[in-house]
Amino acid sequence: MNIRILKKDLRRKRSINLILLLFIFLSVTFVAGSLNNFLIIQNGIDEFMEKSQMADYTIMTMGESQHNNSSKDDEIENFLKNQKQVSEYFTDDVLYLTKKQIQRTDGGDVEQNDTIILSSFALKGQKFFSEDNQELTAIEEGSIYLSQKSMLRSRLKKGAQIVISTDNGFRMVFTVEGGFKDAFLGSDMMGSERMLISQSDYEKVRGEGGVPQGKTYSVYCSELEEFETAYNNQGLNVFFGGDKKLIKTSYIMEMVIAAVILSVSVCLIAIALVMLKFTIVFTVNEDYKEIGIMKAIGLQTSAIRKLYTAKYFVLAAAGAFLGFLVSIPFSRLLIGQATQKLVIENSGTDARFQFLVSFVMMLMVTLSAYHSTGKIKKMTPMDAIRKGNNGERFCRKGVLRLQGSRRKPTTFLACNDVASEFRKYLVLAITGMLGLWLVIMPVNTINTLRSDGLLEWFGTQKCDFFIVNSEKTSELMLSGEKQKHYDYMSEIKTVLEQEKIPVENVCTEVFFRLKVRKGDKSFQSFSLQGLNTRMEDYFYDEGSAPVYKNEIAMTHIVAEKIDAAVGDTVYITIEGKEEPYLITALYQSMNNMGQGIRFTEHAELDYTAQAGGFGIQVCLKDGGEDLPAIIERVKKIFPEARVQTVQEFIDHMVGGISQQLDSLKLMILMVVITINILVVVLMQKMFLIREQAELGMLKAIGFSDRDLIAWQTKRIMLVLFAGIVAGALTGNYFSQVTSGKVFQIMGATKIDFVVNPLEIYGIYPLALFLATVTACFITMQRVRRISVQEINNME
Amino acid sequence: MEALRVVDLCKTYITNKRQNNVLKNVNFTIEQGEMAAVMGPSGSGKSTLLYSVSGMDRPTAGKVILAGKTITQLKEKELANVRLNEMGFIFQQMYMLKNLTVMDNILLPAYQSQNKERSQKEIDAYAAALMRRLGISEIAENDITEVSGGQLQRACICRSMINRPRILFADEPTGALNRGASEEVMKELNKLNAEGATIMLVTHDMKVAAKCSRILYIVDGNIKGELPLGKLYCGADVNLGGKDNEQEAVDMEKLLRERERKLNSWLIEMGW
Repeated sequence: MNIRILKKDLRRKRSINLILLLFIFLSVTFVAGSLNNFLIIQNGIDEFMEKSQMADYTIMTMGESQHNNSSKDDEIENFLKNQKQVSEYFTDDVLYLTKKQIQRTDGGDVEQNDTIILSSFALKGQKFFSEDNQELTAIEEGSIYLSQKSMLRSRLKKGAQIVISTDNGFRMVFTVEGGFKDAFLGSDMMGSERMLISQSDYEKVRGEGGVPQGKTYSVYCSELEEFETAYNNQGLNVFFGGDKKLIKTSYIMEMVIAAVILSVSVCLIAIALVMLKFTIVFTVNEDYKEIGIMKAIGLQTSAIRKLYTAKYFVLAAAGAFLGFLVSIPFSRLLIGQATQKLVIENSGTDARFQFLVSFVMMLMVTLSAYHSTGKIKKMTPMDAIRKGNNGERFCRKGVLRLQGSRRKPTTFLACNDVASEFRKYLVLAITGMLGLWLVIMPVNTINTLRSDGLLEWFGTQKCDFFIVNSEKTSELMLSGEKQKHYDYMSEIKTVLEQEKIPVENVCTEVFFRLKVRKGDKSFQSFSLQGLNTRMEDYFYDEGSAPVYKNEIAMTHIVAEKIDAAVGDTVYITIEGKEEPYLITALYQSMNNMGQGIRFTEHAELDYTAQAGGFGIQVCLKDGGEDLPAIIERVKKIFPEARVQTVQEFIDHMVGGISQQLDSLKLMILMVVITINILVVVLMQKMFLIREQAELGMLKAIGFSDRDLIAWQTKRIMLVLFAGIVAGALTGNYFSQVTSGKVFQIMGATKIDFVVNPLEIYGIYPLALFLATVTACFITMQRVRRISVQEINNME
Repeated sequence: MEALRVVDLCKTYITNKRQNNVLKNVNFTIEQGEMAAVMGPSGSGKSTLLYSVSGMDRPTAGKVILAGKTITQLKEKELANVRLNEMGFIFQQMYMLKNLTVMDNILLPAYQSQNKERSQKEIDAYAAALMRRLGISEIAENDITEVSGGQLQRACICRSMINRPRILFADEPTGALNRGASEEVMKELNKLNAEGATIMLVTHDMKVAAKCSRILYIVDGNIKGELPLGKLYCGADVNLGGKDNEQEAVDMEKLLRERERKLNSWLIEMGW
């Protein structure tokens, strides 16, 4: 009997049931897929570190080409040997190459980061994995493994040939064996990347000289915190020093994408449950006669509730099953990007977990359905007899008055319906608002990431473009002289001026890793000195720009680490001696996860200990030629360098996240529009069932089909408009609390999002509005099929 | 002068591939100021006739001419316009929009009408006058759930009259009312008819039909016969039966009984 009733009901409200099924299906697909994705990436990073035997702390040094073991290395060796927290450590030799030194034999470039680390395959400290997650155990002579990101960017395939050459004429051809996964340098946020060759080939390249050498120290500690304190106190001069946590954080962008999709899924399931409740309450209200009669003939309330729940259980089970099936390829699709960098077993699919999530979702939907049938308890046989009228009078429903109104009756009816029964339309308003939040969040993030203003958050002065010549950067680093930087800037300026490029200023930023101490707290911080820059042009959010050579600005993160504030004197170790510096300002930076100390140009720093630079920044005079045309010309003037716009530079710094978000934005927009359309179609279908008698009556008294469609569409437009306006007004706050957290992890604690009013208050709300209203308009065409005789169904 | 002419009207429904001829070449005319009742057994096609004649349903064949205009040839939008401005409808159930007050429900067709001859103030005043005439002024601001069935049906009559239609159609106008309310409503319809309104109604109720000027009897989709009863009220007679004149009320009661008897014998003859 129950099955017969169920079958009939499923058939009777076919389109409503189909939409609900679609909702459950989409929710299960997204939740199962994205939760799996999120957990796998989160656990995958840990597992990858574990499998790669990533050290607790990694130190990298960079020395001169002829010195295999510099004094820096001796100092580090001595330090490590004397630390009781160090369980063991391994030392591996590495070579530093520049982009120019690696070419394809077919003449093309190998797309790589500025700093390329050439390692022998036989590293003691770290394991590497092939594209198909197999541990690399051997590499033949003449073969080379490139990082996965380099392989993808250069579109290189196995068997391609590349040449490594040095300035003193050495040339060696290698056959590409494939890409490999490198836990240490594999993330997009890491500025360096690695290539692997056999030990014998490595010895050949090193033997020829002309290539800077360095060491990697993989340190395994029993007490990491104590070790870090000791390390910071030591003030060692290194190219890089960081713990495993920092390396893991560099994979944050993988997490961001996963988190964004997960938040879309959470919103989706929330909307699905609200829609389910809406549908059930609506259906129960519609079925008061049947329910009353069932009660009159002696059926228990629980039995009637079970009957209703059974239908939604069938929908939940079917939706969950389909969702589970689709979530497997969906999860694979989502995780595709991450699997290129991380070692993730089974291509990121854990069918058992996804099945479990789908099952839980099915239970959740069924329980929610059962809970929503609560109204059945209140219904009595008298409801059936009184046709739903419980005799309660004097409860005013209408809010607005038609009499004296200047609005068109259809507009009036729409406004009055919404004002009188807003709760009925709340689902749509909330869906519109949530939908817009989900769209605004990636849009604001992308705009912020692409804004020129973001340069401030990288502790860099505003400029028009960058000229990055990695070879020259290495050369300047190795020279150990500040003057060389000025000479190079002057050389660039002269060349540009000769080419009639209206240069106003050429400046650069040089990095150091210096120990800073206040009292007994010390920290090895990333530090910067700008050359040809003006201190007041940088962004500070507390205090004022440092002016004198013993004044510095510091990021909030470094200040917190050593308990310092504006006005405090801290001690910075330069050339082995501690010098006092006054903190005049605090700032935020997204460089090195928010670490930073900024010196004035007059500060006397040890340039033999410099750790790199951003490259040359060029500021142009106002007016004149278009920037893109100038950049094209500069590219021709400096073919060996990478000439980047500010946006390209930032994109490079944040590992191309804005491109990934861009494609994600489109997907979210599509999902949001689909959800809105489904909600509006479902609601309209139900309203049509409930209001067909009213529609019939209005037709009878002379309202045309067009008038009735206008009434219903205007009503949806009003609600949607309210939801979208609320979404647009609050969406920026939502971005702050979601994406803002990611920027916070990267070091910018109080970032102001770049809001493009045209996009946030124009294009996206309009797209959402138009798509949903069009769907409503199309659904409402059904009004044409409503007969005037439907008034006989009016209650 | 004829208000409505129906020529060879046919309506056929096809259900489960089976043809059901509900109306078969129906012909009749309703004169201006007439109050015609359509009677007949259940399933005879009364309501279908009313809906087809009033343009709510498209007939399969035949013509309906309203004041010289063949409405069966009109497009949907034109037909809606005719329903809005030239026809009034009263249904068995008191169909009104629940989010509007009684007054707003009455005003709705007038505000919707594109007819610019009357200002909004004039419409409001006319609605108030109609409500006064039908004795429901006090419920103007009430919600439709706050009033009785009889009051609501009178409000529906006001709504049907708001655009000063050429003809009023009523489908069992007293079907959902108790006897007292039913008599009140019929009295109002008779008053309107006495003032010149043309009315065509469908009813099962002999008491209701007896108050009409002509009865059309329909069986199996055909008009089997018609009975002219003549107008119940003429001009100033509309107040007959009031409390002030007991003799007139008794006379009216007698007259009604006489009409009902006549109608009853005729209906028996027709096979009722």
